[in-house]
Amino acid sequence: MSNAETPTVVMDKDILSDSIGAGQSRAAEPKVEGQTPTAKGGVSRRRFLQIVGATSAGAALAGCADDKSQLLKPRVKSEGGQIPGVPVWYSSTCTECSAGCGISIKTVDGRAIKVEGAKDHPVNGGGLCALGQSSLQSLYDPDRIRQPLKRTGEKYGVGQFAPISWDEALATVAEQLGKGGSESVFLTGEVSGAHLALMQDVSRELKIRHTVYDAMQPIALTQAAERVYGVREIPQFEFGEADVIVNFGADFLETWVSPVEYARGWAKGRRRELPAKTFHIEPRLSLTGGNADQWICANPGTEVRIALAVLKEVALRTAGANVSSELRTYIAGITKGVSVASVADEAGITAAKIERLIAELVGAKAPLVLAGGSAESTERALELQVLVALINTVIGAVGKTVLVGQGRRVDSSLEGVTALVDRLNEGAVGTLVIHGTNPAFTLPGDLSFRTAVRKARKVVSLATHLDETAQLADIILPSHAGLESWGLHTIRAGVYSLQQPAMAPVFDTRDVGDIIISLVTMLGVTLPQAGTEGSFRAYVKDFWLSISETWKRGDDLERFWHESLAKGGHLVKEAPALAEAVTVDALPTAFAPPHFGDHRSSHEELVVYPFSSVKTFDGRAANRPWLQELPDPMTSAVWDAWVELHPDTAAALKVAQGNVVAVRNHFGELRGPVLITPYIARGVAGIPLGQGHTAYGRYASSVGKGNVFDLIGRPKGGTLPLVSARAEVSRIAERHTLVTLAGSDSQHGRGLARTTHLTAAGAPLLAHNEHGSSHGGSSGHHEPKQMYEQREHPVYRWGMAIDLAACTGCAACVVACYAENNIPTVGKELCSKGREMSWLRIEKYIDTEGHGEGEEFTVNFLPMMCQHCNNAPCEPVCPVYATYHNEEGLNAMVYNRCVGTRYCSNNCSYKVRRFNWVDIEVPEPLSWQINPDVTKRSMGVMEKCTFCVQRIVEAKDTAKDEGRFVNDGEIQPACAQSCPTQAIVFGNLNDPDSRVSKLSGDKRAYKVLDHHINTQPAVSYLNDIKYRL
Amino acid sequence: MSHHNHSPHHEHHGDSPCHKGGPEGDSQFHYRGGIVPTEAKPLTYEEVNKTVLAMLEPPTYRWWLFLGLCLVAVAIGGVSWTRQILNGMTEAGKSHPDMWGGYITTFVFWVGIAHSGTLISAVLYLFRAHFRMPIYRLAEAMTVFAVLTAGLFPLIHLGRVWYFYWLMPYPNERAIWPNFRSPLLWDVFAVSTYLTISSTFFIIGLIPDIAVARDAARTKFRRLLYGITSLGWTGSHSQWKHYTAAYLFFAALATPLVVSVHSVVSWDFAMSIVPGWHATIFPPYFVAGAIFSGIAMVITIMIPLRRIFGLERILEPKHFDAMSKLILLTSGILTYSYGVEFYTAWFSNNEFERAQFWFRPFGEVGAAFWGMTFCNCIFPQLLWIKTLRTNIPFLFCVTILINIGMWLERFNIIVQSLSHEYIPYSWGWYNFSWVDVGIVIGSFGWFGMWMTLFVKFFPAVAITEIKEILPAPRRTADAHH
Repeated sequence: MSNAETPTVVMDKDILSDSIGAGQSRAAEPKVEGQTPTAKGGVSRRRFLQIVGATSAGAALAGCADDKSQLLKPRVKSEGGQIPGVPVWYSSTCTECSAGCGISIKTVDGRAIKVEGAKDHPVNGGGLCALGQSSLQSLYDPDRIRQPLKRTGEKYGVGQFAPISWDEALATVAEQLGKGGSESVFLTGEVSGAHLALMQDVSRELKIRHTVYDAMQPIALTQAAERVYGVREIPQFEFGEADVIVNFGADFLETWVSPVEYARGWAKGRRRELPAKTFHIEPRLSLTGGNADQWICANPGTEVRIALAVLKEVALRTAGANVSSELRTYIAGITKGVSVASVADEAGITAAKIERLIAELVGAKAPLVLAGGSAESTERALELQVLVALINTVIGAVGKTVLVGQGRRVDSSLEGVTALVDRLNEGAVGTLVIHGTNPAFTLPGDLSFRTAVRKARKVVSLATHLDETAQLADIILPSHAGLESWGLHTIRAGVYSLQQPAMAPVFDTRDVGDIIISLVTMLGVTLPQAGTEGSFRAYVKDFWLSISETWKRGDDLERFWHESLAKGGHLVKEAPALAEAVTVDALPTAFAPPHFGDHRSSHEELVVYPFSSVKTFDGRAANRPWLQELPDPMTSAVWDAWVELHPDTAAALKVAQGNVVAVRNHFGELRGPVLITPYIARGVAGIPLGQGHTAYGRYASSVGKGNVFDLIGRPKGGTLPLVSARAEVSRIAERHTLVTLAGSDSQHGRGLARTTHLTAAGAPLLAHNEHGSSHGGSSGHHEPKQMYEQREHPVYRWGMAIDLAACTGCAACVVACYAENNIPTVGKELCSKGREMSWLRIEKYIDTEGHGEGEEFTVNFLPMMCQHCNNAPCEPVCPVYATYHNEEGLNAMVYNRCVGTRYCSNNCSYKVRRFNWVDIEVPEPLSWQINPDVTKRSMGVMEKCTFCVQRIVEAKDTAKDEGRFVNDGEIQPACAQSCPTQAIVFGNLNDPDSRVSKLSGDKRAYKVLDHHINTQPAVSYLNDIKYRL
Repeated sequence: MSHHNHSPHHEHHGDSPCHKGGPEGDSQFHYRGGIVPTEAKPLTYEEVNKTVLAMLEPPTYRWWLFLGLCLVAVAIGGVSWTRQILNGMTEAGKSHPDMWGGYITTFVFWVGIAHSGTLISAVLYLFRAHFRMPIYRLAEAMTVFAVLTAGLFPLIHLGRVWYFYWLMPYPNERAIWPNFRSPLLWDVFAVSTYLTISSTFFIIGLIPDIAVARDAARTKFRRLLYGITSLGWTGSHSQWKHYTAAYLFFAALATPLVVSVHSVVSWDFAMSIVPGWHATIFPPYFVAGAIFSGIAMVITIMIPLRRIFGLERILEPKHFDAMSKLILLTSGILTYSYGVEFYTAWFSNNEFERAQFWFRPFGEVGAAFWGMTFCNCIFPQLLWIKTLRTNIPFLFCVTILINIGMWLERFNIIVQSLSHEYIPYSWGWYNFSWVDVGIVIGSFGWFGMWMTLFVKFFPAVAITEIKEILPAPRRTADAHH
């Protein structure tokens, strides 16, 4: 067994090696007696050197038994293909959510410093969301558990743990598992592939029950798919093929199932000559709603009614062409008495909107109907999903945009976890082993998991962090972070992706697979797949070789294995055929709207509406400063949990923006500042999921007062009933500053983010007032007469083009920029003073100008970074030439020369310059992530986007070595690289054939403010395109 | 007027105390300089000497108290600045987008104050406006000390003050020069030039008066101090000849600076493209504002000094009357300039300018705009009433309000403009921190400290020039010892 797998060196296959002997990197582990796990003890310099040594030297020295710390001398000759300072990339799979995006991890001198989407991966194709980008901050989280721990304090006390050795910890757990009498349960997050196989092996061999719980899984969708399509899975949605998308609440551009993949497909549809139309039905305007052509603000719970009416109408109008007569009868039966007018009335919307939606669906060539997120978090989730699946069947979406039998498997089960809680309460559970899920935080408050878990004889946590669940454990066997672990994930039918560690472990933790294999080995069970060494790496390899049998892989399996690892091991096999036909017997017959609250709640109480965002997800990433400081895409709030209310609701409650309210019901309570927004239904209290941790780490526990999961009732049916409770919202005398970074939500007609509106038929609408009053039309192409001689850019002129029609505002680029450019996070207090350091921000604007009344408005997302103006206003005002224009068109910034007059920022019309107000201390080992190619800026100097000049320099060096110019597409700044929809294109504007040149000359292209102030930015934006429906 | 034919020395040998003014009770004198004294009895030379030199008498506890207060304020400022240097600009209330805030506001405020000194001493000298005589010394001192104060702010506001010298064009091995296109660099030259010329002018004007003090000095320290600083002044005819020539020369040299310094300061704003800053009216607008604020500050300082040191017969109501008229004039120019800003914003049809000038009165901090309008435009109009122009307590109120109003004007220009620029997402606001307040307090303490020391060590009223506008003493038998 090995706890310290050395990453495989991709660069040089001849000296591949994948193991340093077990225990060697542990030999010099600093032993801190009595150290509490949350103590701020940094990682010692010695340990750091050890890791550098282990990874750069270790590969060549596999098997040597001596202490690696003896070998920390600078090498005259590089070993293992590694040259100090030269990055090595590892292919792996992101495990932040269960989407299974492929990633490439950049390591320099043995440390992972950047995570990027793997270019040719079947899921994400190069992009990676903010959550995935931030996985580095989970790896280097200073609040991670650093060694095995044993509870010493009072049972179920908090934080009373003492370090123990791995041997002792494993022996104790093995002994517990070996005890008879009561059952042992493994409770894990959503797992697939090798992890799932291992769990199945273990539960079979040891008679251990395996329960899966992940709050973010669309369980009702899989149940409905089973009943309607005959396969229990999340079908494969082909967003790119769809021309009309009707979406009941699924936040597929941000958090739902596989957001990077879906955003990529959706953007493909938007880029067509006649872009796809998107209707979004949700009580709150989410990021996905903001990107839709029409947001329909239906009252919560009425989605099922709308779906019923839609089903009725589409069934009538398509005359049942795609359905069996049995199904036709069933549909006629359930839709009897339902009318568009009546459901529109229930939903609080106009019937015309539903009519329009139905007409579009019926007329579509490749329609796609979805439900998810909050819409499938009510007690009518299954019913809604069944209706949606039926609509897809009726309109012929199945087989075109909904591919059945090629989807994702979901093992999470609310029934399973509810049963587990019941058995815990009965005292039937002996040993409970928990990994990869935080049920003490994410289970509904009504289930009282925290109380129930005390009835288990022993609770073992295989967590990475001392989260709310790990706090309840008796023994903690800390597992690796995703970037240190092995794995093989089954993403969807036939698509596999390998996961490998990118570096030696940061702390004295082990791969969760290794821990489990060690435990079963100690219990006398041999897993042949784990090989003689008994490691999970071997298990993964065995699994890989077994599934790739039909694949062309040559004779040398060892070589194939290494090549697979280098490639990231995504394998696409033929998907199995469609499963059995549908029987209507299993389908529900009642489609009443869901009931909110229980007998204890009154109707005056507000419906609790928890929502997820890429920033908070379900709370799993709450201890990452990058995500906490990332402005919420719709409200721009940072470092907080708030309560969103409609102005009318707020007026009825007599609360104002910034007042603090308590949200109470029978199950729990939370407090938070009020954020008043017209973009939420009346009678609803929107609260972000995932904040209000009481444990987990320094950042997580500082944000939010109360956990919204605590307000949720007991699951009915198989779905997490996130939208089911009511709560009393009342103002309390408490002071709280809600920090939102947006100075204004509106563009004030300034034409910064522009939209071309299309009629439903796709003809461009000539907006009478598209962007401001003083200038007409989208006249982005006039070249003003210049008074002065213009600058020359002899070889390169770097530029960027951003397609706003493809930009979803998901902010992956923002986090990528933080990671690449060593941008510090400053915390809430400094954010409140406008001192956040982001070089790139997403400006969200909602404008009603030029529209009719009511909900008609345009949402725009405008990524704003340094525009690298040819006539940069910042340059002439600097008294010391700290900023200047270089011959490649970059607006360069010399940090060393800056004295900090800040005049450049004042004169920057785009307000993209940031000042180092203070030196930010980054705790170890979070600081290990720092990119060595980018200067850390000191207090008192200005900084800003450089177009990732380090990448430009690198590419130019390579080109020079090869005696050529830089090729188009060779340089990708971090933002462009991470963009799921590839909305950002970078390149040489001097080359007329480069993509960026062509896009900059597109008829949709314009430059922000250029026609006003002649700054001549190097960044072109392409108008967004929206239908006005 | 033939001022120079009537130099104060051609009937006596300098201003030594041995010349005891004119005869007591002599009612026969002829007026010079066209100013009719409002009091029946003019001062004698001796009274002038006595009154002014009495200011240099050993200090009272009140002087010590005031100096102590100033020093405490300086200490507050020092502690604040130290904190800021150690912890970074985060200590100040600035933000993105308000990268300049209280410091630059206060900088412009002090530069503005520094204006009137040169105006009163040099420009009015060249225009032979004799009402300047009793005022100009104080005004000049105020100028020099205000520039000393203002000059601190560009340093205080630097992110890395320890590299302030990079703003200077000094030869270095890297051959890096400052950026001569940057208005901030022009500022460096403008302010340092102004400090050099105004202090030279100030010191030259002081020489004959220091000689008077030297001759009257009783302590060894004072004899030494004045002996050195009077540069061997004897009051000889040739010295006076050269002195007046030099004085005229420096007056001529300083006069363009009155216009240039504040014009250059205004270019810090006007040369940028920030809506609300980018306006051609800025240079004259700033100069008028500077004169307005400077004169107000002179009056603010003179009123208590006049009372404390008993200068009522030197600083007569007619002087206040004349200065009040200047205030009225400059208030009018300023009001016009404010109007032009709004008119230009409207007439240009520039949506950003329009938004800015809508924001100023009706935005979150419209109070600052309305406060400015009241203090600078509306309230001073009461000075059209003649009795109010010589009503000292009222004048004190007016000038205090003008000082506040002019500070607010700069605040409006700087902070309001930066808060509401092109990109609505980046609209923001500026909040004072304790360090900002501490440094502003410190700047008043610093200025007050120099003024307090000055009035005790050097003649704060120009002895020799006052005598120019007094009737010359007649040589009589009993008048001469």
